[in-house]
Amino acid sequence: MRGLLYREFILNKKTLLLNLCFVALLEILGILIRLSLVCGNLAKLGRADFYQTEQSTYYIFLILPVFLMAASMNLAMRNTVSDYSCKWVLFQYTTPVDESTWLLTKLLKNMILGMAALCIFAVNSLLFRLIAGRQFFDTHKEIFSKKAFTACVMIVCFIFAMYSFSLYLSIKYKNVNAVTFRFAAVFGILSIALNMYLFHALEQFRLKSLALAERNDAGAMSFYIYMTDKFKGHTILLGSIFAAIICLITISGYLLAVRELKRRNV
Amino acid sequence: MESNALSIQNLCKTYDGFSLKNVSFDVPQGSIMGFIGQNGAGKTTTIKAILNIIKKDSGSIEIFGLDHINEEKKIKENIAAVFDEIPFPEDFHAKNINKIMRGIYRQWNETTFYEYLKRFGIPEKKKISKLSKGMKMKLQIATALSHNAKFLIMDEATTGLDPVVRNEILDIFFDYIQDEEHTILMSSHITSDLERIADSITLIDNGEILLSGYKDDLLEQHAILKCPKNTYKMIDKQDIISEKITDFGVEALVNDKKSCTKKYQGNGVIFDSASLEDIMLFYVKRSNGL
Repeated sequence: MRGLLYREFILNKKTLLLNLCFVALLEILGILIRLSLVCGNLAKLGRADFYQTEQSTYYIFLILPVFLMAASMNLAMRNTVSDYSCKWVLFQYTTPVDESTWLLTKLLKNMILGMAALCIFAVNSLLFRLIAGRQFFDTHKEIFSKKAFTACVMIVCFIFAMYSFSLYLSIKYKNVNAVTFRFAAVFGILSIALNMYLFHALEQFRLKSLALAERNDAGAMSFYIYMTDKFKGHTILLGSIFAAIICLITISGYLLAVRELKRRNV
Repeated sequence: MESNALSIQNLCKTYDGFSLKNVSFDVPQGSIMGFIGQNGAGKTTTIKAILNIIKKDSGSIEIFGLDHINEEKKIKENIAAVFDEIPFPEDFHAKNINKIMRGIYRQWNETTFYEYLKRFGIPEKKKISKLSKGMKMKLQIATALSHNAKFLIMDEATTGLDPVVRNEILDIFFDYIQDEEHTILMSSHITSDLERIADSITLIDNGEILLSGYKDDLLEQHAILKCPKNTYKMIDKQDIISEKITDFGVEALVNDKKSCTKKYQGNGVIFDSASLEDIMLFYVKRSNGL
């Protein structure tokens, strides 16, 4: 498995480095904006505008790099298609590596990319807190960043599940266009629906917290605690359902892919 | 008793428009078998079935006495396959390949690999895309020979290479089998290479085995009978594999040179040695009913 994992990363060396460069660029921009919010021009904004800017940048520069890194999981699908065209799969069948190990390697690569994405979130959070100083250690900000972390974990898990299933499609159809079309059909609709709900929910949350922040900080804090208590029981249920869906998509994709490989349709 | 590195019995596989029909042959351990046939004869299909790259419909295949499906992992630690195209991406170089193979094969020998690279003159960090076809093939062979494989299976590996490179590769194979523990199955339609190196030959055409045996015996037993057309009428057709009639006379392949020489020598009939290519051409001609 070691050799195959090395191969997976070496195949996409340039693309992954490019992604890291984009992520680094976003990090730098995010840091500059945060610095401006703390002690620059943006710190002079009115209360409402300040919170609006703060939250927008928080989401963009905290979550977007995570999304960018996680989207690199798409490369496993492209690698699989090119494995067929360069006859690597033919060679693979002559080695002692079985189908399960081959696929687990690709999933492991995606897991590593997913973990890297979450590490980027952790680094970002830490940097933003360090820049902001003590004011960002207030309780409501802790809750706020926990929710952002939960959103990131959900995004990464969903992307992981999607691209795990796409491995099956790439083995079955062996053509990037055919895979992309079916992939978009299956997950595009799901992603759009999920994103629409998430953005709507976040927008509602943002507007409510802005309205409370206009009144006072105590009001804002009460609202955060209220929201957390209200959804506490449902959070566990919803989280479990989400986790089950992710596991179902991932495992079914894996099993279908193993079955397709065992058919030896080279 | 001679053991077989490979034993195939009644292998059958059907595709649309083509099928392998009861393919049976053995490859003795420590020998080189040439697997010859024209394009589309079934060589690659047979090799893919041996390597379990395609599922056979029926028949048995044993490698080192083990079933090739039930003991697949164990067998594949000890075999190496070389195809007509290198299966690595063009951006890779030899050092990448070394790291990959090190993590795949338990018996991967890095020292042996780099020794072969040195011997073949392949730079360690030169991209595969920048290598010539011959160098790519040598790199593939270096990879195949560096994990202590006991059985090397080659599918049209020398096709498209110039005679100098082919000669070099054949010398490598001579060294490989010197200890009599290593075996090679080499499919090719370049019969001159096999005539030089092979111990035994199996000829396949249209999915059926036409001929299988030791190369020296086959070459000794077969001969080209040459005679005028009117003399050819007297030849017993049972003695002939197939013939080629030209304006100048008849050329026919016989498979019992000794007895045919006794029967027909003289009366304008002469016998020339048959090469593997001649044997292949005449057998295929008979098989196709031409």
